[in-house]
Amino acid sequence: MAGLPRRITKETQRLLSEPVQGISATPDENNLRYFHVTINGPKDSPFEGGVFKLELFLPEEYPMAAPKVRFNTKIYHPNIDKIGRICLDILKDKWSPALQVRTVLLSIQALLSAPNPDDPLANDVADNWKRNEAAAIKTAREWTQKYAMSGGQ
Amino acid sequence: MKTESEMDVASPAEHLAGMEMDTSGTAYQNVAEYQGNTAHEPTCTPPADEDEAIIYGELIVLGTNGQLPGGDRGRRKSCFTLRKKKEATGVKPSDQHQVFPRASQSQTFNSKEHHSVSYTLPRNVVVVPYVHDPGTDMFQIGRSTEEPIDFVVMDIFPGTSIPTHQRSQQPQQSTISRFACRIVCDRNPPYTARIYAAGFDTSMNIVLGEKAPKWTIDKDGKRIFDGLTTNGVLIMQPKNGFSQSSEPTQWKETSVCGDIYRLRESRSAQMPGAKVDGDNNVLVNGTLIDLCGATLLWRSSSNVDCMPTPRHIDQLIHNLNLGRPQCPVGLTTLAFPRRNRATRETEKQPWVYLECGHVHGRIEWGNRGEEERMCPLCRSVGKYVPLWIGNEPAFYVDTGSPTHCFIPCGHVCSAKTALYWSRTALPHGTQAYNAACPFCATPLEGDPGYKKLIWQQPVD
Amino acid sequence: MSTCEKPRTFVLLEELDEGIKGEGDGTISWGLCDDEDSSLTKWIGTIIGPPKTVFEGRIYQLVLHCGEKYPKVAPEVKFNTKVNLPFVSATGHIDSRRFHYLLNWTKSCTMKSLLKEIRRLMTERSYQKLKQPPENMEY
Repeated sequence: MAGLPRRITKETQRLLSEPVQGISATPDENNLRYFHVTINGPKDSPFEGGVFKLELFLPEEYPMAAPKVRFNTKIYHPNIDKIGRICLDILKDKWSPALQVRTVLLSIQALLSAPNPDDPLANDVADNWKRNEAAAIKTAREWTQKYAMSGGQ
Repeated sequence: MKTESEMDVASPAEHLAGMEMDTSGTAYQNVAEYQGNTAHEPTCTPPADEDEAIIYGELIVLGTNGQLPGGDRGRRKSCFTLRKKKEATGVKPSDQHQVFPRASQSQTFNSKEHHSVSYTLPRNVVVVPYVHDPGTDMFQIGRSTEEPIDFVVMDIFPGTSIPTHQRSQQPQQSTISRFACRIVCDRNPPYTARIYAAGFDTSMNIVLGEKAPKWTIDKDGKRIFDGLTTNGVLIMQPKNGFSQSSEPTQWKETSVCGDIYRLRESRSAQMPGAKVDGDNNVLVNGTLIDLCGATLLWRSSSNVDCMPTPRHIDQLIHNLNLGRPQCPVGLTTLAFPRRNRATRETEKQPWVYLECGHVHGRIEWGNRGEEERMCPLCRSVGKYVPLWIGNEPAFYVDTGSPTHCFIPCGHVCSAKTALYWSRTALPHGTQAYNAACPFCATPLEGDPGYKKLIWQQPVD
Repeated sequence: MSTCEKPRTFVLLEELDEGIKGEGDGTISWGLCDDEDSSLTKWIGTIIGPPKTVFEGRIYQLVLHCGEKYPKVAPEVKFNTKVNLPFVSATGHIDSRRFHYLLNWTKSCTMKSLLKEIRRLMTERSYQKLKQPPENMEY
C-alpha cells in the first residue's frame, strides 16, 4: 500500500464496507488505483435488469484531477459512445476534488436514469433519441438484454 | 512603586492572574485548577499582600493574540493588569495655578517632588501644580520606556500577530506619545477608574506645547485650565458594557482634566471638538482607548465573569478537535494547534474559503488569479486562508463556541464576538475608521466582515 | 509492480484523444481502425513522407496492433503502403530487432512518438539511396 494516498485508502475502505445500492467497485489486486465496477441499470429506465461493467482509474493527480471511467459493456445511450466513453461534466470541467469515486458512480447511475440527448457524445444515438424517443428506448432495452444481461456481451 | 526588574518578573503571572481572578475571592480555586491542568503555563502565586490582590482592571492591546507579535518583554506586553498599589500613587490638580513667562521659572515645574501640568500660551506659561491624592492610584501609559511609564505601548501594525505574517523590515514613525495617558483608580470600592490625556514625564511634568489645543472653563466659579494632546486620546464607551448585548457608541476625546469632547475635525486639529457635558471619563467594562497607533481595551475586574478564561479557550479548541473535523478533499482530520503553540502553519491546520465558509485542509486546487480560489464543495470563488484561534480571552464578549471567523485574516471566535467587533469602528491611522479583527488589527473586508464556518464531520 | 500504473484502456483512450486533436503540422496521424472497436486493439497510422527525401509526397499507411499487454508490450506495426526501409520486412512488418524504438520500447512510449521516429528515420542520409517502390502500392 506504500505510496497510496490516505484519501484513496479511505475511499476504498468505505466503498467496500458501505457499498452504494446497485453499485459495486472492487480494486484490482495488482493496482489499487484501478477499480472494476458494476452498475445495475436503474429501475424504470431502459437499462433496468442490466448489469453494466465499467473500469475506473484514479490518476496520479487524483483528487485534484477527475477519475477516468469507461463502460466496458456496450450500452445504447446518448451520453455514452460506442467505445464506452462517458460525457459527464463532473468527469471533465466540472470536476471538484470534493467529489469522490462514490459520487462519480452515483452520477453515472443517475445518467442512466436521465439520458441527456442535448449534450450528446454519441450523436447518432442522440439524434434517434430526439427524433423518436420510443424507438430509441426500445433499442436501448434490446441492447441491455443483448449485452448487459447474464450470458450477454 | 515597583522597580523595573520586579515588574519583569511579575509580568507573566500578572496576565494570568488578571484572567483568572476577580475581587470576589472565588478565583483562587480557578487559579489552582488551572495550574494543575496546564503545566506549561507560568505559575501564579496570589500576592501575599491583601491590597495587591485587588485588581482594578486590565488593559489589552488590540491586534495582539495572547502576547505581543514579537513576544512580551518586561513592561512591553499585550496585557497590563492594574492592581492596587501598596501605597497610594494618585495625584490630582490643586486649586491654584501659577503664571510665569517661562515654565522653567516655576519652582513646581523644576521640582522632582511635585507633579505639574504646564500650558504654554503665546506670551506666558500657566503651571498647575498637582498634589498627592491618598484616595487613588495612578498608572501611566505611553511609548516611553522610562520609569514613570507602567505600561509601554508600541504601535501595532495590522496582521503582525498572524504567525505566518511576513514582517517588513521598514521601521515606521510612531504616532503614539511617549507619555500618552494616565489612568487613576479609586483605592476604595467600587474602584472607579478614570482616564486622562497625557502622562507625567520623568520630571513629573506634563507640558502642553504651543500647538496643543488649550482653553479655560469655569467650574464652580473657578477658572480651570485644560487641553488636549497633539494626537489626542480617544475613548469609546460601549453601551451595555462589554457583554453579549454590547453596542458600540461614538468615539470621543478625553482632555488632560478628564472632560469629554467630541472628535476634532481631524485627529490633530488645533480646534477642540464640542464639550459633551453628560459624559465622563470613567472606564466602563469594554471601553476602548485609542492612542493613535495602538488601541487598548479596558476590562474591569468586576466583569470578568462573562469573559472566557485561557482555560475556556483551551476547552473550546479541545472540543473542536474532538469533533474530528475532516478535510472534504484529503479526507484527513483537521486540528487547531493548542493555544499559544500556533507559531506557524501545521499540517492539520484548517483553512477556510472566505466566500462560503467551507473549512478544508490546505489543498492546491481551483486557483483563480493570485488570491482567489474556487471552493471544491460549492464552487464559489474567493479568498482562501488558514484559520487561527482567537487566543486572547479578553476580546470575547461571551463564552460561546468559536463558530465564526473574521475576513480576511481568518481569526476564529464566537458569533457574538465576531458581530461585536464587526460593528465597532476603530481609528485607523489619523483619519479613517474601520472595523478590524481584535486579534490582529487587520481591517475587516466586506459586510459584515466575518463568516460562519462550515465544518465537515467525519463520515465513518 | 507500481500501484500507480495506468491501465491499458486509459492509456489508449488518451492516445485516441490526442490523435483526434492531431499533431500540429499534420505530418503524422493515428486513430482506431474501427471507431466502434471498444477493445481499442487495431489502430491505423499515417506518415506523410518528409520533403527533400525519397519519401517526399507519399502518404504511408501503417497498422498498429495494441495487444492485451499494451503499453508494457510494444504494438506490432506493419506498413500497408509499400516502402523500402531496412527495418521493414517483405510483408511490410517492422522488425523490432532492427528498429531501435521498438527494441527499447517502454510503457511510456506512444504510437505518436513511434510514428514520429519512423518519419525522422526517413530523413536519414543513408536511406536516400534506397530505391522506393512505385507510389500507392500496398502489401
